[in-house]
Amino acid sequence: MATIDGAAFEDCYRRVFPLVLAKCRRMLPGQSDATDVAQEVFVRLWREREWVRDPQALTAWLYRTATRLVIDRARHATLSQVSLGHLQSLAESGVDDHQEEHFERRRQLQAIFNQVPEQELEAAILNRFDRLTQAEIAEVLDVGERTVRRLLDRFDARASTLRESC
Amino acid sequence: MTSPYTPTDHPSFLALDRAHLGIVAPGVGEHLQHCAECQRYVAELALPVSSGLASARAITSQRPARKSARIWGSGALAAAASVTLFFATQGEQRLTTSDAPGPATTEDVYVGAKGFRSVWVYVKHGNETRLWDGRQALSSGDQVRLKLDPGGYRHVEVYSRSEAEGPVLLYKGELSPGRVMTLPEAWEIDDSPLPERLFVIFSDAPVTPKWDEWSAGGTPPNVALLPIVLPKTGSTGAKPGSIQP
Repeated sequence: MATIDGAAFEDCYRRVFPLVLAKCRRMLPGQSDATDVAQEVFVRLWREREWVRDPQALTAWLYRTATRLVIDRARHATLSQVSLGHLQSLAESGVDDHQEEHFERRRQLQAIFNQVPEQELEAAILNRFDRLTQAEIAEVLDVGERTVRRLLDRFDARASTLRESC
Repeated sequence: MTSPYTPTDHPSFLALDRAHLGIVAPGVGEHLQHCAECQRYVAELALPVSSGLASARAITSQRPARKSARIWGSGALAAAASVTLFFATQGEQRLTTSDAPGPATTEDVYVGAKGFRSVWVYVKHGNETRLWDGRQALSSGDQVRLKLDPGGYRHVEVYSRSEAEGPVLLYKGELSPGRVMTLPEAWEIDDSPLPERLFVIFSDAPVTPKWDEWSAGGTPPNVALLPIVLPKTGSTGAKPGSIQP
């Protein structure tokens, strides 16, 4: 796949859409949420195709774009409760967030989720849901590895504070 | 401080995705030979997909994007030829608000993935209404109506703006995130030779536009500004119209 253009798009779609959908499903267990975001990622990919040409750059772009779209939708509360609950688990630690007695705790988690800087959330999602190493996160977010470490540390600190306060 | 996230013995999903596309990082190929779980993941990536392919095909019919070029929302161009909407002719002043009845529903001709804020421009010329192609010059008396996909936004404001008059608010209202809507008002093109410049502002709440700052790309994270330039026939130095992404 040297380029993504014209007739090559359908072939690209068949090869790449499954991994985008898989990426979205890791973040969004709500089936329609994942499909919706995955399709939107492809709309953007098509618009950006002149600048996304090789598979290395393509995959980094897809991970970055999908992650940011999910964060944007979570902040605008346009995701299902199932997906929102799963995203909020980023700040939790082995707690079943579907139990009704944790409703207040989840409400607080939503508030924190909205307040955490976007890049911290991106790094946390890529690390926890996608198992990316710090070097891979640095590549995807186009920042240095030290910055990635700082982002994850800050996010961990916020999550820890949150868990103690709940 | 160390991350609480427990590293696994598996490669990242990014590394596995790249292996699926033919870029196998050192160690990943060997891991794949012995790990049934990762083998299964990569094998599933090769399964045929059909969902969303129709949308993808529609998108392929659009022009490639350019950083400063026309962007049409969500693959609507593919449906343009078959779209016929009806505006009542009314309005005499420059971009005069019309209380024309709404157009026929367009949900059935929506093509593309929903979810990203987009604008369609419909132009009624004479008795014919069609989706603006991004270049067509408009004539005095033509009527313009907008259809919006708000994405995740909840509020929209539409302005007409010229150097002579400054910004004029044409419409403001609430949106339902993710729900495509056609604005209830249509506007008539005047006989001025200057292009019409519309500005669609998506936001989460009513805003006070900071034109200079926002036009330079400095919109706040919860605001999206989409300029639309509608050229007119007979205007000197008329340039193709545009919708900025």
